Amino acid sequence: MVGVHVSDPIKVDIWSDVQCPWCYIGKRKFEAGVAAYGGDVEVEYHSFELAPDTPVDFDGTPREYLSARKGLPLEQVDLMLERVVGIAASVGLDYDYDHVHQTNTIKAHELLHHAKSKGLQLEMKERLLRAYFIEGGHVGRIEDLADLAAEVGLDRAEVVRVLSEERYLADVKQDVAQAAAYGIQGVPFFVVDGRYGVSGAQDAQTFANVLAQVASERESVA
Amino acid sequence: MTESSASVSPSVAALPTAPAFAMLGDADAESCVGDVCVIPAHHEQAVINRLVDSDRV
Repeated sequence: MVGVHVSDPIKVDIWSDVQCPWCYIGKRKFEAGVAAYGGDVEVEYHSFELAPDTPVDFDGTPREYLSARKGLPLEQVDLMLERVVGIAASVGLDYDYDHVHQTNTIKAHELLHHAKSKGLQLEMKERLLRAYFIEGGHVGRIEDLADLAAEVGLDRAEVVRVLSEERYLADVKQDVAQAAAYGIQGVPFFVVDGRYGVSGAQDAQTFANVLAQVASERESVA
Repeated sequence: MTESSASVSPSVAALPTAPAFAMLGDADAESCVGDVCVIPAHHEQAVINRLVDSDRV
């Protein structure tokens, strides 16, 4: 913890994908945990692609995607999705799988890096997740992404340009490579203060406890 | 809660390239691995209980 002051915000690096249902649920639980903790926390989202081979214009719903991909009967997929929807509702998220557009998220990740460079990554992350899971928005096409970016205050034309030029593609790949180097296999994955790993959509109290532990350890060595 | 604005986090760049952090929390918490999103058994039971409560099964 060399160079870290007790009063410094606790840094939390989060690996996540836009079309990961547990990432949005976990985001809500993490935010509740931060609120319960009560101290300063600095968050940075990192890219993780769950299904990088998905076409941008996948012709079907997640229901059909899962059924075809996993060879599962549609009835079983429906039951799986109903469970996820129920758990999402428990944290205040109204998932609408009837209108979700399954897609490739590489451009969404590039956009999140661009938003980070403008100090708007948290706003962009929330907007992308809400668009994908709740509003039936498309988060794979540049024009759709630019519309969402403009809503959070980014310059629409600039977004179209940087996404078309793949200006942040290397940053996305670096995040993915870093995740692999860490051995991260699933998301969401939280790295707290560079020292503790927390995997999955944990309860809010778990996040609060981890943050309190880090704060306590900082004070003990100060 | 604040956010980072650098294109590459200095803190991440400074982190080790191999996993060296201690894992905390419930090892069975929900996560997505590949394109499979795992639902732990206790959540399945909770959802079934909810459906029973609402007379849907």
